[in-house]
Amino acid sequence: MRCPNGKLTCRAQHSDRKGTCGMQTKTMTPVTSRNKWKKTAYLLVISAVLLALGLYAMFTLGTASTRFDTAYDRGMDLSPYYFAPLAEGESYSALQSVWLAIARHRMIPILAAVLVFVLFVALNRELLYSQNIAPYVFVLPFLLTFIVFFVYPLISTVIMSFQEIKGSGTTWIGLKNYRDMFANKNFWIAVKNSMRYMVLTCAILIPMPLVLAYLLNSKMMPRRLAEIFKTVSYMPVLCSVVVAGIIFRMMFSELSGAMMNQIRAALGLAPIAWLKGEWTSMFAMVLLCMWRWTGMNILYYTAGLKSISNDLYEAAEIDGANEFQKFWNVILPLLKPTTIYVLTISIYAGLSMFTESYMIFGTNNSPKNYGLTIVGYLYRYGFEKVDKFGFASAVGLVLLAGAMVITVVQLFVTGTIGRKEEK
Amino acid sequence: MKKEKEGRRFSVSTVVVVALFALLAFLIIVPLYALLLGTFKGGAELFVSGLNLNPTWDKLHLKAWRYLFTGVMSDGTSNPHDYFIWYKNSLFIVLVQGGLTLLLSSMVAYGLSKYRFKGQNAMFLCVLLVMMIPLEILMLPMYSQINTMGLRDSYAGVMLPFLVSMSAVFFFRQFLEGIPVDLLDAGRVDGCTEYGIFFRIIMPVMLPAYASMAVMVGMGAWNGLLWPMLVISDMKKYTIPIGLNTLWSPYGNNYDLMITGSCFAIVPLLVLYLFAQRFIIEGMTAGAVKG
Repeated sequence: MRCPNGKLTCRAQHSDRKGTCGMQTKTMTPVTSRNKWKKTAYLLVISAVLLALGLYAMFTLGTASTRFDTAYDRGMDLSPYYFAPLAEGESYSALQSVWLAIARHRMIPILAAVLVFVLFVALNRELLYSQNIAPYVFVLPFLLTFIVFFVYPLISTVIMSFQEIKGSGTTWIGLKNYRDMFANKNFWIAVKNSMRYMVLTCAILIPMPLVLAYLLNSKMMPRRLAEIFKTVSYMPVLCSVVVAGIIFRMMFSELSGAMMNQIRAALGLAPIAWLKGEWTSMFAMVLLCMWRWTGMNILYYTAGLKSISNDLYEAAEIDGANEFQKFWNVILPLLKPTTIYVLTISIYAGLSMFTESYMIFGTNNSPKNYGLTIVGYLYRYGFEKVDKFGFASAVGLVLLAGAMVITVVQLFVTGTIGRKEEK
Repeated sequence: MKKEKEGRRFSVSTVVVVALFALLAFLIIVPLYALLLGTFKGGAELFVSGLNLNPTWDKLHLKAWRYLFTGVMSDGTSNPHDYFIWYKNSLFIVLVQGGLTLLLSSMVAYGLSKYRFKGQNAMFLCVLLVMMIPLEILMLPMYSQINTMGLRDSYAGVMLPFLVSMSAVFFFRQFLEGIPVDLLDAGRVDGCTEYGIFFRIIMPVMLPAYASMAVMVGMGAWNGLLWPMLVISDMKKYTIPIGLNTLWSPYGNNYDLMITGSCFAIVPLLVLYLFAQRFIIEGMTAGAVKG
C-alpha cells in the first residue's frame, strides 16, 4: 500500500479523515498543527526560566561548587559564595534561603526544565513527526552524555592540567605539573607496574584461552562436559572484583595457615609475606586477573571458532593436515579478528587496572608501592591528597594519550587500520 | 560391539583433555569453595589462620550467617549492621540504571542505525572513541563535572554518566543492522509515527538483545566500585561493593560480616546467570566475532 503521491517514505497521516496526505515538507504541514504549539508556548517560557535559574547557579559557583555544597550541607558560613555575612543571631530571609536551596540542588531546576520541555513536545508531537528531525531526537541522549560528561570535562581537564588548584584559588603555572610528574619517582614506579601487569596478563590471557578454547571445542572433548566447564569457568566473572579481592587477599595472607602458604609448606618451603614482595604481589594480582578472565576469554574464542565454517576443517583434513597443522594454519589465521579484539580489551584493562590492586592490598597504599598503578597514582593525587587536582589532571591526560598511542600502534601492527582491502 | 565403540570414543587424547579441563575447573572452583567454607568457620578462625581449604568439619558453625541475617553477634550481643541497606541501594541502582540504560542506549542505536542524517558517521566515531577510553582515566573530569552539577552523594550522580552506555549502543547497533528496513517502511505505511515505530515495532523485535544487555549492564551496576565510591560519601547510601570494602580492617573485627556478605552478594547474579545463561554469552561475545 503506497500513499497517493507514491512515496513510501511519506509519513502521511492516512488516518486523517479529510484524506489529505500531509507530506513531510514544511510547506505541506497542515496549518492547524503549525499554529497549535503557540497555545502551549507558556510551557516553553517556564522551561527556559527554570533552565536559566539552574545554569546561573551552576556557572556563578563554577569551581567553588564543591566547597559551596559542603558548606551548605554542614550549615557553615555561605558568605564567600552568596550574600553578605550574617550577623550574630541573624538568618537568611525566605527569598535568600530559597535561592540557596536552588543553588545547592541546582540540577533540580535543570531537570524540571527538561521535563517541562518534554511535556511541551509531548503536547505538540507533530512538530517532531518529520523524518528529518526524528533521528536527532533519538541520538539526543548520546549527544547530551557526550558533551556533558566527556567533551566538557575533557576540555576542563586540559585547562586544569596547566593550573595549580587550591582551596584559596587557582593560578596558572604552565607546564610545571607535567615537569613535576615526569620528575616524580613514584610516577615511573606506577608506569612500570602497570606496563608489567599489562604485558603479563596479555602474554598469559591470550595464548592460553586460545588453546583451551580450541581443545574445548574439538572432537576430543565430550560436548556435555564442555558445557559444564563453560558454566564453571564463567562463575568468577559473576563475582565482583571486590569479592574476588577479598578472597585473594585472605588466600595470600602472610599467616602460615593461609592457602598459598599452605601450598608452600606442602612443597617444604617456609611461609612468606606474599603481599610484601615485588614479584609475589604482582603474582597475586596476575593470578586474580587470570582467575576472573580465563573463562571469559575462552568464551570469546569459542564464539570466534563457531564462526569458522566446517568446510575449512574438512578441506584441511582431506589435504592430510594433522591436529597441530590444522590449528596453526587454519584456525589461528581465521581467529585473528577475535585475537585483535581480546588484545585490545586486555591492553586497556591492563593499563587501567586499579580495583584489583586496591582490593588485594585493601588500600591504595601498598608496601613500597608494589601495587601502585597509573590509575592508582591518579586516584592518589586526585582524591586522596588535597590541592593536587591540577597535577592529577596532567596525570590523567598523559595516561589518556598513552592509551590512545598504544591502541593506534596496536591497530596498525595487527593491520586493522592502514590496510583498506581487509574491511 | 557397543562396548567396543564406546571404548574407541574415549581415546587417550580425550582422557588427557578431559583431565586437563577437570583440573582447570577445580582450580577455578577452589577460591569460591574456600570462601563458602570460610563463612562456616567464622571470622575469628579466619583472622587467626587465613583463608584455606582445611575442612575442620567438627568446628563449622552458622554463627557468621546468623549475624548476617539477624545482627546478633557470635557472643550473643546485638550489633546491627547496614548490609541489607547496601543491598537495597545496590538493587535500586541496578533496576533504575539498568532500565534507563537499556531504553536510552537502544534509542541512540536505533537513531544511528536506521536513519541517514548529517553528522551520523562522526557521531558513531565518537561512540567508538568513548567506548575505547577506560572510565578510570576520565573519572577526574567526570567527578568534577558531577560536583559542578551539585550531584555529589546522590544516586543521580552515580547513574547519570552511564545512562547511555557506549558498548550497549554498539551492541544494539550491530543487532539492528540485521533488521530489514522493510519492517520500518511497513510501519510507516500503516500510519505509525517515527516514535511509534521504535516503541511498537523495534522494541519487541529487540527483546533478545535487551535480555543479553540487561545482564551485562546489571552486572556492571551491581559490581561497580570505583565510581560509586567517589560519588557517594554517606554511609547509608553505600552500595554493596563499597560497603564490603569498608569492612576490611587490620583488626579483623568485621570478618564475619565481610565473608558472609561477599558470599551473599554473588547470589543475585548467580540466579540471573542461571536464568539468562544463553543471553549472557551472546551479549559478552558480541563484539568479538565481528572484530
